[in-house]
Amino acid sequence: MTRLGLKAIAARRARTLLSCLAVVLGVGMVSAAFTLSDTLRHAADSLTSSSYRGTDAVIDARTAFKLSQQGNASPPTIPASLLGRVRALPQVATAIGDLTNTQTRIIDARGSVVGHGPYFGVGFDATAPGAHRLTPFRLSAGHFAVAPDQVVIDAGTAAKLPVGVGGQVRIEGRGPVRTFTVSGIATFGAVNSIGSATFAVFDLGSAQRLFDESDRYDSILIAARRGVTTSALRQALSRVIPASAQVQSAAAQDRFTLTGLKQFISIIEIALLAFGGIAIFVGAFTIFNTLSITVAQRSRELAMLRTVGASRRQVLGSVLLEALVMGVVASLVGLFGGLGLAGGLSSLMRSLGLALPQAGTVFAIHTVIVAMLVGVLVTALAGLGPALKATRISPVVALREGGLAQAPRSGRRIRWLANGLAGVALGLLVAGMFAGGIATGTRFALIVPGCLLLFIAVALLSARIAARLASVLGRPAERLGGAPGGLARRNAMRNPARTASTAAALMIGVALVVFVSVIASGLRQSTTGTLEHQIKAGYVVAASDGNSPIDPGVAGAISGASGVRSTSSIAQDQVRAFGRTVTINGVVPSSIGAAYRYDWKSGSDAALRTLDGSGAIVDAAFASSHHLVTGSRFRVGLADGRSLALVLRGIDVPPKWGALGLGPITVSTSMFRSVFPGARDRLTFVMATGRGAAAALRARLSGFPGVQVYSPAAFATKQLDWVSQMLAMIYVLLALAVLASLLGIVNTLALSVFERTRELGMLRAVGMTRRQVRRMIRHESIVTALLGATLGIAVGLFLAALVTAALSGDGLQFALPLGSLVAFVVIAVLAGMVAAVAPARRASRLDPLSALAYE
Amino acid sequence: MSTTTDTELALDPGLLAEDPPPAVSATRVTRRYGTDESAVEAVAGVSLDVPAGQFTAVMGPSGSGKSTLMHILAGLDAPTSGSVSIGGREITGLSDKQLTLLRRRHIGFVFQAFNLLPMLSAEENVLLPLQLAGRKPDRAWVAELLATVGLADRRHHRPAELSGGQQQRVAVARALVTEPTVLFADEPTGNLDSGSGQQILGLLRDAASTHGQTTVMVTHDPRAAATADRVLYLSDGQVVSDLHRPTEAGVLELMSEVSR
Repeated sequence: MTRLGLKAIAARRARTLLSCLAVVLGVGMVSAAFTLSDTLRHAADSLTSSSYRGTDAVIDARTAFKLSQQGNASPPTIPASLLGRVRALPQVATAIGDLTNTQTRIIDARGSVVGHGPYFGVGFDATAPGAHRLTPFRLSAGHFAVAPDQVVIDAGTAAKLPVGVGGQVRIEGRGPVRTFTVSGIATFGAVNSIGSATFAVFDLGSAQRLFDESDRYDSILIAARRGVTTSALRQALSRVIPASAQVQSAAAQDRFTLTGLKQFISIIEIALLAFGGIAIFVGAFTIFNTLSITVAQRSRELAMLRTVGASRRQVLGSVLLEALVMGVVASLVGLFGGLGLAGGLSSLMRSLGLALPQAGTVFAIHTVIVAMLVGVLVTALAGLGPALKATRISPVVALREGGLAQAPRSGRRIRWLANGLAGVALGLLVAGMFAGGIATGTRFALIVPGCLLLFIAVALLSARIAARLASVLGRPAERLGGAPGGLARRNAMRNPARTASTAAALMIGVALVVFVSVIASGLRQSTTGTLEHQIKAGYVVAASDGNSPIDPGVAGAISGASGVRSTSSIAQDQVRAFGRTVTINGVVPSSIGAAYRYDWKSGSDAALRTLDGSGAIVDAAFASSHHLVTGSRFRVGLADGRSLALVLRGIDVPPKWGALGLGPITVSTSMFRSVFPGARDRLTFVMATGRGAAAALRARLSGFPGVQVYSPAAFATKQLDWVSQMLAMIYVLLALAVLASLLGIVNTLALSVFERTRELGMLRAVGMTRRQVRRMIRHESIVTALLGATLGIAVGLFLAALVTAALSGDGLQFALPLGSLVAFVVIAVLAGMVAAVAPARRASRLDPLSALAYE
Repeated sequence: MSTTTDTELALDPGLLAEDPPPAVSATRVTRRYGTDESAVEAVAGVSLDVPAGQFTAVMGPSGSGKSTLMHILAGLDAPTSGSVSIGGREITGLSDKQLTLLRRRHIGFVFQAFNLLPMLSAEENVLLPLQLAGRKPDRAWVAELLATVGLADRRHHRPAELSGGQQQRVAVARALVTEPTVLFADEPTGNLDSGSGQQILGLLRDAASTHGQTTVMVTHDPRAAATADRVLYLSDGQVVSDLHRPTEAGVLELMSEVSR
């Protein structure tokens, strides 16, 4: 029996290969995900250790709480005078002051910001002996900056601009853009740059003036004298530093945010794994289909085996073995294909400017184990159904006259199973989305299996409605395709279980695509609606990426421009309130009311205009969770350890969807500036009259290339850039799942053509042209694809509605992207046509004599 | 081509009445399988004419080439040499598309294995050739046909709901619906019990007698052959006997003669 199973595969090599392809794709993705992320993580680790290796200790300001990496925090600094005391220690070989911020943008010839951040600006004291030990920058040309107008930039940026040593480059740091001469070009350790970051390295003294940090450092970097242990060094240092400062390792301080790089790698890994999993899941449907159809086609042969003495167990074994062999072969091919895919992905990332350190490919043992296990197990599971069906074929089938025996039905049990699965799926989904107070990880652990079960349940249930649905969806085929179209519709209806499970594979991909696009359009609608409601101003001046903080000098530059009546900026920083780190906003009481709409729960615009030194406005959620009412007094902590006493003057109810990224606490700008002198602005609202205002604003902003003038609508669009990018990426990855399901359609059609050889011969004999044969197959494929698309759209909308309902508390709205849905249907039709090409050609070339040939 | 023939014939009505073109005509047809010395000649130089309206049975033992000959006459297989014409029109050398269109208009088929589409009703199966050709069915004609084959009350049944004999009757109606120049039947009673077989033969006989339906039937059953107007007996790819107005006894005698 074992040999029989193997021979069955060998006899149908092409078909076996085709149905394996989907699993190959999925396993390939899983293998690539592990290989790529292991390789990147390994490289990031070696980058981290090489970047911080020479630095034995770092002194920086102690913060009262951990500032979040959002970029709107201005971290406290340390006095430059501390450096002398550090250098005087006998344990210290070299100590240098350091400035490192992430708001120093290099501007290209067209006036655009280079890279996507972080935009590192560094002050480096190259003149101190031994200083090179304390920096990861390695000059590849020129020398470190020594004069105020000089800068060293990273090799990646230099190549992009392009600029060489002696060339000019414009940089926007603190205040308007300035022109510098490139004194040198440096690599970061061994790489040209990290990811999409840029580096501008200035002379330390010049950097202090440039970043407005005279007599201050962000940190002091220290190398120990030979023979001094790190712990001895740190002990010595801790004795000379004030309470406001701290000693830590360079890796712990992580001034180049390399930890963020590792988080980014983990996100890539999870995304690739998820989409690989989806492809494998779709592949399982294809395998299930192929085996089901071959079992049906081989039913006489299997029955004959039963008559000559094969036991049920042996029949089960032979079909399962077939599945297992397919799984092992497909997984092996996928595993090694994934290595190539990982290489392709990393060169793709390089070409997108995401330069990551080069290191040997890491092919870990867990890659092999997980990829093989998933591929083989899923395939074997998919084969279980058809194998069990094969055991139920009665031996008498072998003796029966006529064509193919009908596989025994097990309708009621399947329905019972499907209803049960659907119930469990719904339970998991609802629990995962609506249950309060559970961790995100737990939510996903409920939602993901819920989705998988839902797909399986719908696939099982859809067999019952497939005939009716195919009948409706086939109407256009009948109208457009004439007699062949009509036959195609009937063909799609004649074996509903087969049509349904073929379509189900496509349903999964379509459902996910629809889900994502509905959520995206909900995000768009929520964001646009919210901003339309909130913004009264005619223009918004904000960073060119829409989110980064902008220089406080921007407001001054535009005030008084022609047509501008008034401006109002919102500044932001971070404070600690009631045990949580939150964003605090500084607004101009006299002008903010004209620019931004407050919906008062308590208080009024008048109260806003009289916002005094300690007055604060909070949003309703913050007020109610901390039991604050107008007149309540509360304190917030600052990063440098001080605290601030505030009096509540008003409570507003902002839209639930916080599109502007405002924090819950708002104070007057005068009080804000006195506490956060170095803070940057989130944006500046401009109240303007006349059509020329935008042009006038742009002219005034020529010194700030990193800043843009937006209409409120354009600002909303900019806020949604990430949604579009995300959507594009998800679509590309889901295209793989759709591709896998197309292979399934090809396979089913090919098997059906094989099965209907005699029928096709008859049709040719009674006058069907080759072109009509092709049209018939094509339309059947289209009807199947439309069935998949219809089911997919239904499931996708259902899931999206569920998620939207779960997130309605956060203000997410449900919006139907009708255009996209129509596009998906069109794509499904096109995909159906493509899937039909090969089977249709094969069918049209069948010899009509085959109808007359009688066995 | 047919227009010029029509014009010529129109010029001389006497000629038309005296000598209509045969429905099927074969001239020195051979069909060889393989190319080297081991090549097998399934049809070895057959020339025949089937006049319009004639019901011809083609007989012969297994491997005599009767099926191959029928395939060639019906334009399903191409002869190695020789030529075939249907209704006076040369069909050798036509493209697949031209042959398909020819089959649509001029040829009807009844197969041994019925070959109905399982998802279509009896009536839909009958209408199939017309629909493939994009022709509007004449409802009255279709109803008459279904009545003739005795399935007027079962026209909405699927093939699976019909007996073998009923299915073959649907197939006969399907073959007749286009009023073909010639109907080819390949062992039409081979899968049927004798009663059902007789019904089918009766239908074919009737179509030839009352409608002048030219019919070529391949069979190995002497009783079936005896219902035809003429029996062609093939052996080793050649016509060895041409019997007109056969009787069952005559056919049996012929068979034993040839096999001797």
